[in-house]
Amino acid sequence: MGQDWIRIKTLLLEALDQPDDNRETWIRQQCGDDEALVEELTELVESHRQADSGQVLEVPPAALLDPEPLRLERGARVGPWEVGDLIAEGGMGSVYRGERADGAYERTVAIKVLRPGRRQAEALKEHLHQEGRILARLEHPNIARFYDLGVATNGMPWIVMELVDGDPITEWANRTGAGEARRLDQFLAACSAVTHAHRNLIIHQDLKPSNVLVDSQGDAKLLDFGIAQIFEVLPTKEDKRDEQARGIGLTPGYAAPEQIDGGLITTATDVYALGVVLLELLTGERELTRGRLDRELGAIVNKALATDPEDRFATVSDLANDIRRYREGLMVSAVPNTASYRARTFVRRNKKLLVGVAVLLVALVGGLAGTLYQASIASRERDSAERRFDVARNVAGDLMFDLHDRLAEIPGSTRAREMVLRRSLAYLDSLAAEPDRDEVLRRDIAQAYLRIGNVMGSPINANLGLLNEARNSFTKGMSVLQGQSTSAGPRALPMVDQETYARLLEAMGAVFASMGQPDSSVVSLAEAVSLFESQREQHPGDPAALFRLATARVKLGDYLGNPNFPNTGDRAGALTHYREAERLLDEAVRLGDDGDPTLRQEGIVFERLGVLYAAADSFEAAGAAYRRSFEIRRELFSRNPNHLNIYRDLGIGHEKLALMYQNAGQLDSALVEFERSEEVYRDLTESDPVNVQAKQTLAIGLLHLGDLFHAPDMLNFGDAAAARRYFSEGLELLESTVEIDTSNVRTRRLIEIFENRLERTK
Amino acid sequence: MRVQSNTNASAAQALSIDRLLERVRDGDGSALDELLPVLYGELRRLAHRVRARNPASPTLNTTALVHEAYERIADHGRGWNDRAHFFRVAAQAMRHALVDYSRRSRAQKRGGDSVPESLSSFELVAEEKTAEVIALDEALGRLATVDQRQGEIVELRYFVGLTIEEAADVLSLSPTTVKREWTAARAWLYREITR
Repeated sequence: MGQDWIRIKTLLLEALDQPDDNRETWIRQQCGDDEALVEELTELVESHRQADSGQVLEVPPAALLDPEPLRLERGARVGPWEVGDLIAEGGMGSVYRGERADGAYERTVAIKVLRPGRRQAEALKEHLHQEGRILARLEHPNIARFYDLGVATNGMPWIVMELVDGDPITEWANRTGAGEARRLDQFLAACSAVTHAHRNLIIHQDLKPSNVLVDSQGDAKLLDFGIAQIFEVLPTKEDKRDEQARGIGLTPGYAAPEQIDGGLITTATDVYALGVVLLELLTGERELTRGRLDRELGAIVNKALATDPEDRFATVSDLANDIRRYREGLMVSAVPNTASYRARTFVRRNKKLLVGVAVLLVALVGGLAGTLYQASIASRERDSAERRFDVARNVAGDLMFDLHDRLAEIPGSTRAREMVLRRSLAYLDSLAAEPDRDEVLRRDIAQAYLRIGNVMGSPINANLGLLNEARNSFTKGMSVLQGQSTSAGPRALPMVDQETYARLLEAMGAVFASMGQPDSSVVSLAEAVSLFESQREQHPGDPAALFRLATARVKLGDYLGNPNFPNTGDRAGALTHYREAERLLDEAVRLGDDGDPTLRQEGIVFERLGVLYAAADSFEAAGAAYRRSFEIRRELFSRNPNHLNIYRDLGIGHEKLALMYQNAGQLDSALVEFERSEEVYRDLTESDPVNVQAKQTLAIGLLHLGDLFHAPDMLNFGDAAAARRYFSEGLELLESTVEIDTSNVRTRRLIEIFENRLERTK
Repeated sequence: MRVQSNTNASAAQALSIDRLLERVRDGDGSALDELLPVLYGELRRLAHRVRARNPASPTLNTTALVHEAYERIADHGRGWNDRAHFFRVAAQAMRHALVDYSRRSRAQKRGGDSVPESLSSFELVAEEKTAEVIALDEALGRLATVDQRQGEIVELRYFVGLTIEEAADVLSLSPTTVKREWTAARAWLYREITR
């Protein structure tokens, strides 16, 4: 090209100086009959025109390397969105108002434009696509909705979110003068949002008051979920020494130590930041000064702010649960569980109860319960015969059971409950023995027998392992209901009594099973199911009737053919009843009943189905069922952290998942899940040392752990010595329960199993 | 402590850049190969530092960086104060780094698995930019063999982001000449990379 180019460029520049309408003529004149030159110049003129209008080569490509935040002009487009006014600008990027440019969407949105992260463009594309899919799953009332994301023409990633008109939570609190309760409400809403994100595998990584807004409706709204993951603005290990990387995306005062040190970012990172937000919300400061918070809130904040992520709350829901417990006057996990702390918590909680009950509870904790309680019974027995009926109502309906139910929710209360119930039972017996009983009183007494029997020995609830007493109590309840007309059968009873009768049968079935009599159990339960079935037919739109029937069918299925229960070996029958229960619960949910009991029962049904599928070697179906069950239980536990049954169910959920992993040969994952369930079971036994069922459950957990380390017919780690340690502990535990309940078949069978295991691993 | 040690490190680096620049000026081709990554690293480090001082600065750009790099190096330079030469070398450093970056990122893309479908509104101009850089680098190579001055102008304008006036200053040319050369070069390059 050489000399040609010098000539061409001179001609080109002259051509460009010509007026537009004369240029072509001018080129022809200059080139004569050199058609190639004419073509060359014409092309270059056209190239110039295009390059000039498109600013081609005017923008240095250094933006690829130089993460400079570039501004967007008003009216510019990012994807289908039109950029409006600048709302905020910071080190990480800028936020603009925006609207759908094509009018497909009316609402004003927030467009956040960020300096490109360290990812290279093509990797960014794939990454954004994946993150976008994850973010689209975030649907939570306290999370600003995600709409869209992409990369703008200048190479900057952008994200479109719901525009939230609100104040940072701390400013909201100061402006409105909200009290502690309202501040904690908002904080709990934020926790629930973060929990939801964590379940969707999104860690916020930059929680701070300016990302936790309270909107004009007074609702908390969290911003910027997924920003950290999408734009990777946080330092990783290799660039932790890089000053700039350190400066981006980390907000001093809110960043967890592992973020500053370039350690592993986990959900605990968000726990830390939430701890700082909580502290600032409650005290206005970001450092905890002694005495600024009361002991429990201080302990909660301290636990959230632990330097080692392992020492923090394991999850955001644990943090939220502790705050809820604090508010309800329950023990918080952040405070060491000492006797004096337990006592103080009881006292605080009791303020909410009737004064008389409060006195009794305090007395129970102090060890004076017996004395005081007997004094109160004695004073009642001095009452005249006429007043006995009223007292009986109280016994059956209010005082005792209110007391009992409240006690039942508190770990460690078994002994107190047993005492309350034995007294109540004795009293009921004396009432039942009286000849002239009216219908209402009879009903109350029968229901009281049902409740007492359940607490004495029903395997369904936390029970005292008193099987014979329980069975006697149920029998008494049934005969009280039938009165003189025992020959007519339960179907002759009024509808409301049929329900109580069916419940007694159902409870009786469970107790028979615990006594090692599955055949008797199945007879009782089949009768209960048929009574509940006719109840449902009477009330077709009543979710409660559906729920009762489903529950009874699950129990019938258990004792018909669930290998985890004493059973008659009828697997097909069990499967039928479980599936029917699933259908019934679905219907109940459709009718609007998605309360805790229904969810809990659904969790149980899926676990049971998982057991049966696994027993039939349908591992895929079993896996799906277990996972479903586990999800339901986790949801429940997040709603009800202090509820023993639900906590136990969560442990069982972990255990079932672990078994699936073990079957699939993923032993490490199995170990993790088994240890989680063991932790749950251990918490339950430690909080209530005379609860037989809790100990059995823990023993089974230890059995599984032992089998994971050594078992002849299962995939295992092949470590007999480790297995023996679990088996020995389990056996000891079971032997300690024999003293409480000699007739418990389950305990005896478990002891045999443990002895065999120990023999085998010698 | 940290700041102190950083200063020492960059002073040492500046000295080594200084030495390399001298060797480049003396016609040592291998020194240029050594210099480019070092200089590029220095530019990046400076970018971080400038941004840390003024995070929201909308004016920070490559030009400012190169200026600052020059001032720092000139401070340490034992007799090295040929600003124009420095800018030309810096421009080559930027070009080298950008082309290298673009090649690597495109190679990674080819090596990777299939790219998932884009989001509805996806515009990945950064990707286009890497293609532009590579195509331009090749075309610029051809241009420079027939018109070295244009090649230098394009390097300064495109890879460093100098204005017409700044480029004129660096090259000791009149702005009018630079503008005309740039216009012709751009038209030619544009045709080459869009063919």
